[in-house]
Amino acid sequence: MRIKLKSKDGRKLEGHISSHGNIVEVKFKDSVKRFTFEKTPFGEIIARDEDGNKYRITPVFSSKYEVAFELNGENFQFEKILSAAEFEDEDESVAIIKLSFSGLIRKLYVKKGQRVNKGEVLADVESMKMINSLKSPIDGVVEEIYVSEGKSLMSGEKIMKIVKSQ
Amino acid sequence: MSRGFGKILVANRGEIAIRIIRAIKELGKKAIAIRTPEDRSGSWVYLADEFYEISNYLNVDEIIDVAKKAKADAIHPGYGFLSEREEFAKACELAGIKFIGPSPESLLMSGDKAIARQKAKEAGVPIVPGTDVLESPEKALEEARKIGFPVLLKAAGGGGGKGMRPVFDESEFVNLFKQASEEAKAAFGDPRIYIEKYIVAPKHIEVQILGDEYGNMVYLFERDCSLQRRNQKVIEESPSPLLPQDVRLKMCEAAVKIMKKINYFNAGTVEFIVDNNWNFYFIEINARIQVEHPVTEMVTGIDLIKRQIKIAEGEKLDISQEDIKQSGHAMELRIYAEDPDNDFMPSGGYVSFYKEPSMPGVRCDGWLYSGCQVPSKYDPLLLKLIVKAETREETINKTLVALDELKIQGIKNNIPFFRFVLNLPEFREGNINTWSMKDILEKYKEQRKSLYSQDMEHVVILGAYLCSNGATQSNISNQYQDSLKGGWRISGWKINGRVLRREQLR
Repeated sequence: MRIKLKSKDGRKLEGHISSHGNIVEVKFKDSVKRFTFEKTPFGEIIARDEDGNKYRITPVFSSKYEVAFELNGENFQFEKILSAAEFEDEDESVAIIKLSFSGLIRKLYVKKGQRVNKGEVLADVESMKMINSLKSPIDGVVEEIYVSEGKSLMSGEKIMKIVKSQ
Repeated sequence: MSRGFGKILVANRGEIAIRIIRAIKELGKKAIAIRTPEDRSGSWVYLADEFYEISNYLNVDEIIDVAKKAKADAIHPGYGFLSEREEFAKACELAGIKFIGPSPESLLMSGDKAIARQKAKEAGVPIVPGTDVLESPEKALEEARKIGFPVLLKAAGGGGGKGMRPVFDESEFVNLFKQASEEAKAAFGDPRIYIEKYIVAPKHIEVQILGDEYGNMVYLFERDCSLQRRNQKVIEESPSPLLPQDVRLKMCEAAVKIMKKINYFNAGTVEFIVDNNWNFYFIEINARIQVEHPVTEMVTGIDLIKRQIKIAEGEKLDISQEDIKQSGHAMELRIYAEDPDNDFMPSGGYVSFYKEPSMPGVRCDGWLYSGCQVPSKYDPLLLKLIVKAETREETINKTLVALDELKIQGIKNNIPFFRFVLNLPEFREGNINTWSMKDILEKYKEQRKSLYSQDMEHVVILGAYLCSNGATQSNISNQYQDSLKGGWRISGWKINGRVLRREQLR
C-alpha cells in the first residue's frame, strides 16, 4: 500500500507499507524497516523497530484528506495525497483553495471565470460561531468552484481552483 | 429565612451544566436540564433528574416556560448565554422563579461598562484613564489626544474580551472608531464606544467575591489569567505568580468596595489589569460564575456553585474573611477543539476515544465521552483540566503528567500547544503578561518547523498508516467492536438507581 503525505510546510513524504499480522514493513526510498506494534488500554499504539527502539503513537484525527497523530509526544499533521490530480498545487501557477478545518460555506464572493487579486476575499466559512474569510493567495482567474453556498465541508476538502494570470 | 429550593433548572450546556447539576444533587435537590437538537450528543441531560429540549439557549420565553412546566423554584444560568442578561433575571422574577445570581439592578450596572467605571471611581478604585461614551469620532480623537496614544476603543455593550480594538496611531483613529462602532452595533446591538489608555503588556488579574443578600461579602483571592490568545483566556492560575502580598490584599479589598457600591450579591468577579510596576486598574465586573472558577475552588476549598445556590436560597454567609485561605497552587487549562498547527482554527467532530486522567489534585470539568459528537454550533471548549499541588512548579509538573494520560482522539485539540507552553522557561518563571502569547506562538511555530529528523521517516509513515481511517479506526476500536459482535454482557439492570435483575446475556 502506497502512502503519500504532505506536511503543512509543503514537505512530501512517500513510502510503502506491507503488513503481515502484527509486523508492518515500511519502505522509504530504498530502505526497509520492520516494526511490531501493540495497542495500549489508553488508546495509544506502541511500535518497536528491529533495534528495539520504542515509539509511542497516539492517533488524534483522521479523515479522507488528513491524518494527525502524536509521535513520542510531538504533534504530526499531514495532508493525504490521494491522486495524481492533487499534484496540481505543486505548480506555483495554480492555487487550490482548501479548507483546513471543517465548516459551512456561508458566502461565495466570486464566480467561475472571475479575475481575483492576491488577498481578495473568496468565501466566508462558518465554524464554531466564527466566520472565517478565505483569501486568494495569488493574482489570477477562478478556474473552478467545487462547492456551493450552504455546503458543509470536511477539513481538507477543495473549494476552488485559481490559475495565475500572466 | 431559607427559601429552600426543591428543583432547580440549569439554563446552560456542556461542562458547566454538569458542574451545576452535580452541585444541585449534592445539596439533595432535583436538577432539570435542557438541550437543543444540535446537542443530542450532550451527556449532561442524563445526569439530571429531568430534561427538556428547547430550540435555543438564548430564548428567554422558552426557558421560562420549561421552568414553569417543570415546577422549578430557581434557575442557574451558568456562564455565557443568558447569565448576565438583566431582562432574563427580570423575567425569572416576574415568573416567580429565583434567578441564581445578582439582582437585575446589579446586572444593569455591571453590564454597562460606562456605569461600572463610574461606580469604581466612586468607590475610590483606580481605573484606566479614559472617557465616557463618545458621540462622534472627531470628539473622540480630541479625547484620545488628551489621554495619549496608544488608546483602546471599547464597546460599551461588549464583554469577554470582545469589542476591543487598540489604536496606535492618530492617523488611523477616525476610521477605526467608525469601524468599531459598526461592529459593536452588529455584535451587541449597541454602537456606543468609549476610549481608554492602552496599558502596555499588562497582567490580567481578577478577584473572586461572594456576597449574601444581607450585605455581607468576602473575597476569595485572585486568579491570574494573563495567558490569553486574542483576548480569550488560555491558562488561569491562583495565586498569581510573583504578585506582592500587599498588592494582592489591596486588589481584593478594592474588588469588595466596587461590588458593594453596586449592591452586588451571589458570586462575582472583578477584573483588573496590572502594569509592570504593580499598579492595578479596574476594567470590568463579571456578574456570573466564571469558566475558571474551579481554580479558586481548588486553592480555597470553597464550593462556589453550592454557595451560589445557598445564597440564592436566602442563607447568610457563614464564612468570614479570616476563614478563607489560599493554599497551594492551582492551574486550569482550557482544552479546546482547535488546531494549534493551523492558526487555532476551531472545528467540531466525532470523538472516537476519550479518557480522563485521575490522580490526587487533578480535576476534569468536561462533558465528552468516547463516541460523542462535538457540535460545531457552540463554543469549542472540550474540557477544563484543573490541577493543584503545593507549589507552582509541582503544579506544572503534575499538569504535564495529567496531559499524558488525557486522551482525546478523533478531534484536533490544543493539548500539544499546552505541553509546549508548560515547558517554556518564561512560563515556568511566571513572567507572563497578556502580550506574551505573541512571542510564545512564534516560538511554537519555530519548533514545529524542525518536525522530524532524518531516519525518522519510516516511523512517521508507519504512524500515518496506523492512524489513518482504514487502518486505525478499526485497529483502535477493535476491543469495542468485539464487544458489540459478541453481544452485550449485561450483569444487571438498574432503573432509577435500583438493581432490577441480575443475569448474564450471551
